[in-house]
Amino acid sequence: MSLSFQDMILTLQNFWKNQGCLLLQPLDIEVGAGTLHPATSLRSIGKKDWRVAYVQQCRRPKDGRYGENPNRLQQYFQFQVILKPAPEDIQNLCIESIRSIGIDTNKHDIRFVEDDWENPTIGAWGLGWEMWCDGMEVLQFTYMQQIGGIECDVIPGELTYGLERLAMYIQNIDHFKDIIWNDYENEKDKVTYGDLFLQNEQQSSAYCLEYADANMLKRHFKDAETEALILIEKNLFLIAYEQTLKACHIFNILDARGVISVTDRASYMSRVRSLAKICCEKWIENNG
Amino acid sequence: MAELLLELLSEEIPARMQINAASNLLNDIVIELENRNIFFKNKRYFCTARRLTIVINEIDQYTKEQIEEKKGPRVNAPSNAIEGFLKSMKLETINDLEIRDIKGEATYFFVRKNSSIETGLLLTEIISKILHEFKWPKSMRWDSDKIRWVRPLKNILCIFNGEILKVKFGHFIANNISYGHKFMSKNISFTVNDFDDYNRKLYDSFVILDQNERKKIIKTACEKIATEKNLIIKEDDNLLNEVVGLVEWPNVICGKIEEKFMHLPKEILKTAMKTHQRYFSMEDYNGNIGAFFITVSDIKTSNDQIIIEGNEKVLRSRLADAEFFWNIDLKVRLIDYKSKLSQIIYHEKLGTMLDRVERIKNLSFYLNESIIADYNIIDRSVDLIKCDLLTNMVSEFPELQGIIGKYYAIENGEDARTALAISEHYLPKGQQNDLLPTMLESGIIAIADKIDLITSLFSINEKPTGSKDPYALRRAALGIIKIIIDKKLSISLNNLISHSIELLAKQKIIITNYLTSEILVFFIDRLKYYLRAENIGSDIVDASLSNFDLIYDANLKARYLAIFLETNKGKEFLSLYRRIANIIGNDHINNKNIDDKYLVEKEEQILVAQVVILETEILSLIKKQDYESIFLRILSLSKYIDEYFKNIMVNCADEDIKRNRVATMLIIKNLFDLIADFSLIVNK
Repeated sequence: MSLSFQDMILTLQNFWKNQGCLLLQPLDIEVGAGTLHPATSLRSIGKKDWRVAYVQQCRRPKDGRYGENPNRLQQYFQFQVILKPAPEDIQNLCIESIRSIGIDTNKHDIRFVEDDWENPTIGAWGLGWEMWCDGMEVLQFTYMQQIGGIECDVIPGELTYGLERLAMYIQNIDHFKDIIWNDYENEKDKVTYGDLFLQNEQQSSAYCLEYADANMLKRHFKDAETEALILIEKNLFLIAYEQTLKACHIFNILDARGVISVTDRASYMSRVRSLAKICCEKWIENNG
Repeated sequence: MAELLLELLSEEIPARMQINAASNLLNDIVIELENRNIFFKNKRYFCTARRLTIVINEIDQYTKEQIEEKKGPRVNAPSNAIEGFLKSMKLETINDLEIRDIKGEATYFFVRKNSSIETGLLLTEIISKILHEFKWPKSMRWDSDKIRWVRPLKNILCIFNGEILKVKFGHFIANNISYGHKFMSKNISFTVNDFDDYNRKLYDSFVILDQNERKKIIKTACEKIATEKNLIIKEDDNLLNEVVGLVEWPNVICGKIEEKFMHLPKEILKTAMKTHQRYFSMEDYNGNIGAFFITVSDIKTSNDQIIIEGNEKVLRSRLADAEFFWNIDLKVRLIDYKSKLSQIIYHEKLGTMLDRVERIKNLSFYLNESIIADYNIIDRSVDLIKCDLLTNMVSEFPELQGIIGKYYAIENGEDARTALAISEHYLPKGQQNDLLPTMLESGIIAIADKIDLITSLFSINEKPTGSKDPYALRRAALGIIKIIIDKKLSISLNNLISHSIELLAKQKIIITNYLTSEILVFFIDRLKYYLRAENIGSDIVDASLSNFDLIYDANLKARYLAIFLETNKGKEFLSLYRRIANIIGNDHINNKNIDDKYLVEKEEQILVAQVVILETEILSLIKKQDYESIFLRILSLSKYIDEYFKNIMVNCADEDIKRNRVATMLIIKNLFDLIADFSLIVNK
């Protein structure tokens, strides 16, 4: 019997806890990727060692398909691991981690295929791979090189698992809504991913793709940006970073709504990037 | 005679970088050996996802003793000259110098003997230096070392003449250890004596070192599978090379594509398989895609079926996505997307996609006035050509724009030619076997689309620079040229550009005064490039482009001129032309009036009469673009010119006769200049 979704999370958490990772909780602000959680973004720069693992619910407004596409979700879960400095045997640890959730790596074709990651909105990039299992991406493995335009002094290894895709693979199902969330004895106790999130997926797709008020959002973007700059002046850079993340998410919704032209997009992204840069610089100044 | 074996073991190197890196590494070492006159016999490089390996055999174990000589000043030269020489040779006294007799003068020489060194010692330093300076397209740092490499290094193996060379790179010191296949041998380690030993132990631990061998294995296995299924695999060297770089122990396996997805157009299936999954696809003899995919696993297990099923599952999700998009897109007729094009901005300063489509339509009709293709097809096609940009499928597979539009049009029941025009208007795409639009209608729309692209972006100063051409305007201009030549279209480039600019001006886009000529210059440059690529010499190209407004005409002219000037008669003609030009010289005489009364000699009279006849003929032949006849006719005139020069001296004493003769020369030259600017042809 393959692992349920919640057991998969527990297993991964346990595995990485045993590797010395702090188990943190997800960020309570809308983000497009686990990388934007300050536990990755800010902690990856600066000289201090750092090992964390956490689940992060991510929102990608553009990917909303009203829950009808079996593989595409607007809101989904990532499992994020940071090992700083990246240990020598990090690839082995990746392989061990997927063994722990039930994949026998001696029976499957495991490969590391070039995929360099970048997120220009926060001025971040790294070099790495997708780890494939029989042609399917199970995790993204990146040696981060730069965040907020600042070089990483001590190079962290970042591992990002797409939990829904992993679950669908282990549980051998074809539609995300059929992912089994829990263990159960009786069929009536079974809870699926669809039971929990399908309605949300339908409504948030409608919101981001059709109903979000573009003018209001543009105002909110400006507000978040202005507030972030004020907070930086007051050296409240962590809170300024929160405002930066809000601005970033608002931009993502505007983009999904289709109300941003090609040149405007470049401008929005550069505004978010410069905020992110200042926050990162302040972080380094204060935390080294 | 010693062998050098070097292996750099790392985490997986991007497939596309492996061969260049291995080859560069080998070259860097070889250059250092050659610079020091150290001989060797063979050199080879190998690469896998995890390794760069170099082997060089029969290297001299000791460098040759070298004598270095530097000639200095004469012994009786001023003292500061001698001091200067000592200083430059880093010497203290003249006692370190030899004195030799050079042509009776006693001269100082500095002689240095470099004694022979063990190559091994040299190589240790050389390789270390090369590694520190090695350039990857992208490299990274990791842990606390300052060194950079494409991905974290794991081990360096370096053996010379059976001994470890302790090459240093970061905290790494080279050893004689290597490792087998990560999974199939559990990354077993073993010591190595020399290349043959290394190669064999790698093979025993499931690593095929030689990329060419892996390529052959994969290719052969693929062909075998294709034959078994009565299908063919099309050559795809890029994909093959990439796949070769992803595995150390290639295991070629074949999986099935689920029947329910086979109704999707083959381009969608192929793109979904190739772009992300790196699968090979196959076709039957009619060009239909086969219901199978081939992938190369890096592991051979006792039950490959598990791996096949895993891959089939992944492909199923990707195709389910494509199927989803197909169904949802087709809920709307393609034409109904057209009005939504007003919501896509083409460029901030240039309005919407709908504006652009309207300009393309206007330009297409304008072109059609002289070409007379099917008006209705053009009309409907232009309405549809950009609609697929709004579909989910094109968002997912942007490289399939046009092709998706074609299929959706077919599904909507549009005319087959309309559907074809949608995909063809993007041609040519600037690839190897560069396809051009097959129909006149799609050719017209393609030209309209590309000219609008060029003039609109030039008008807002988004011109290509030496290194950057983000909108692919060079390709667009070249595309227009190729279509015009292919379809033998008589289009005035000048008028086309002006018309396009007018349309932009109507939309209140600011136009500068020089825009038309800027764009014309851009086109001339591309036409020259095109003709040179067809192996027509650049001087001939320049000579032909004196009036290039009609591209098809210029192309014909250049080709015939090239052929003409290759012949002996053509070369003779060229000499005659030059002779005439020399006689006229730099006198800016405008006198073309021939006074019959001063035509005294028979040859003069005959020549002038011939020229008059030829003038009318040439003008008419030029209009008909009959260059073959044109060159034949001017050859016939050459006979008379020859006779003329045998018997007549242009620079005679009598002013009136001389003036007449120079005028004759001028008229003849002008006649030839109507055809091409022969003065630009280079002397070979």
